[in-house]
Amino acid sequence: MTVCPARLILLLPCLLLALACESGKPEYDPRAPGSSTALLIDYQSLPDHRHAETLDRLQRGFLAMQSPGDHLILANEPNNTEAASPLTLSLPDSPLATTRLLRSLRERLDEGRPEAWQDRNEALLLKATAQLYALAPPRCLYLAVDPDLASIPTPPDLSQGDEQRTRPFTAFLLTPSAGDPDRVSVWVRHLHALGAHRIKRHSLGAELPACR
Amino acid sequence: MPISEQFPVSGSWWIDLAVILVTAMLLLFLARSTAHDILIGIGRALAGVLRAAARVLQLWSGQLLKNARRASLVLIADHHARLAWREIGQLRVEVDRALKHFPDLNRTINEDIRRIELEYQHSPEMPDPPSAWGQLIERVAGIEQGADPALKETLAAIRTSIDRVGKELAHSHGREAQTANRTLDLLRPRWSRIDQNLERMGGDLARLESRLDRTDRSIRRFDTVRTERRALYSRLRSWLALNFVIGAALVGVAAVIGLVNFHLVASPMKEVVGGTATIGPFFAAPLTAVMLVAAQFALAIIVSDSAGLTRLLGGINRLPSTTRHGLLGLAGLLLVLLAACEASLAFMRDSIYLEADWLARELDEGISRGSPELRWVPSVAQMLMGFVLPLTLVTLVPAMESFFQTARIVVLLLTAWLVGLLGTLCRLLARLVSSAGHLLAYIYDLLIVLPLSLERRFRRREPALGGGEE
Repeated sequence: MTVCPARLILLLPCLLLALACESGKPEYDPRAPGSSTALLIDYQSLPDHRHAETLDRLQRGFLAMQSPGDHLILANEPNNTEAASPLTLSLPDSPLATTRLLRSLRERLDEGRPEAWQDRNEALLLKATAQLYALAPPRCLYLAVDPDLASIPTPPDLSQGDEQRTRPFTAFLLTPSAGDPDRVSVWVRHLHALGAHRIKRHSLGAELPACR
Repeated sequence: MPISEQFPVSGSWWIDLAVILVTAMLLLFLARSTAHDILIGIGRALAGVLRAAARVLQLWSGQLLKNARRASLVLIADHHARLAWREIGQLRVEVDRALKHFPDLNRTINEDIRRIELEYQHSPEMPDPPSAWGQLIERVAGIEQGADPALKETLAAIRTSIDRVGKELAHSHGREAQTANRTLDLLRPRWSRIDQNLERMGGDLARLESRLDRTDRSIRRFDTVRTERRALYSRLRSWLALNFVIGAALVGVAAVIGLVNFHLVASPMKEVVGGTATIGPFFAAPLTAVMLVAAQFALAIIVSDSAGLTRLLGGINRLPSTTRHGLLGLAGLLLVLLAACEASLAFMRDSIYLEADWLARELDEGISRGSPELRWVPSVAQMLMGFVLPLTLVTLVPAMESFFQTARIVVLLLTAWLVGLLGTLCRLLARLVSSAGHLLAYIYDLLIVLPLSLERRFRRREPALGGGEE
């Protein structure tokens, strides 16, 4: 009789394979290359003494939540007061290149401070959401606004409403205070109209919630 | 009318209950014999089934034990056969090494002997003193001197002449002897060389003899394993257990090495194949990392088998020697290449972590820190680890073989023990079920104790009444 442990030895690679498959299983639809997130700060509505600090902290938190293959939209790009168009970036697949790109973006954000946009916030919001629809799910919009201080948004043009509803996104309303419920509900309605199927309120001082 | 309204029939629940109880007791009493038969019969049948199951389980356990014993003996015989083969291999090496010098040695010794013979033949003979000279001296010494002065003078002249000639002869003899001694001195190194060569040959032969003894002992031990199997099994059980424990520990080490390899490779693999690329339903990076580690394991096994350290893959052992050596070289080269690949990935891993760490700090602290400097010590350490760990697997393959061989026996023994335990439980249960039939019959009798006691009383009276009539 021959003791043939070769079959038993095959178990080891099989176990390793199973381990890798377990750790390497995509948590969401594998066709989606990564999450798409947009950050828009209604700079005008925030208290004056907190502009710089809030902007810096939000932007740093926003960059920290990015991973390789993600798409990001940064509405508050510095030195871009004329064009009033959000910056859209697709991060590369490799971790090293992503880290380097994020570091360069961080330096770029550090170099310049955005101007107050005055009345262009609504236009930026529309553009940011329009760009968000084009990107892969899951899609999230982080909107930092003080409902008590911000101007009431005008109802959006819903000519693209049907398309927006087929590609919904999650909106996180980051507010510094509880705010007037009526004014908050105006913003919620506005975001619904823009295509947000889920709206969550978060404190501006807390960490940015993950996009799922 | 609902049936619940018909009760109690007698107008009182107590009376109804008493009637039911009495009726049930009567019915049970009447059916006592059949009920006893059924209860005891079911108990016996179930016990029989359980006893049969217990017997089957015991037989199975015995068969498993026999298989385990046979596997152990095969393993032990295989171990001793390997030892014997190793001894034979070493003997062959020793014989080759010793006999390789023998033709040269033989030629050298023959040549030395031939030269000694030649030089000896050409060397001058040791001169003997002339025999007539001795007679002359004896005769001259025998002449009586007397008183004759002429004779005295003549003898004195003869003595003087003999002394002179004797001195000349001694001188010439001494010279010839000196020449002969010088020639013999010249032969001495050749003799000593022959002596050394013969001594070396003797040493080689003694070593061969000792090796032969050891080989003989190994073969005899293998033969003993073949013939005295039963006695050996109990003697070598502890050896098997030790092999299993050490093998298991080393397989654990190999598994940890595999995991470390995986973690060294998985992260930088995202850089190579892309972090979000997928193969089928899985991410490509971890899958490729696992493939790399699995390939390292496979190559380590092939290298070990080709080198003759293990015999895990039967096909490799059947290959001709040259093909096996070729395979060993190819597998070794591929393993080194994989190790080099892993080393470079491990080096890159540190760069990735360094950059990520730098970014995290910048984002956390809100200040720009410039470009990170390469940390040489951790980077080189990871690189070396990535190179050395795959090669370490080769040394662990014999332990893996030992573990898998002994694990089979352990699994067989464990299964046999569990099956035996199950058999014993079945036997106990059979006993319990068999007793339960009788117990239920007693409980049945307890339920109808009243009519039974009445019946017994009547039965006791019957013989007395019969006796009175007679």
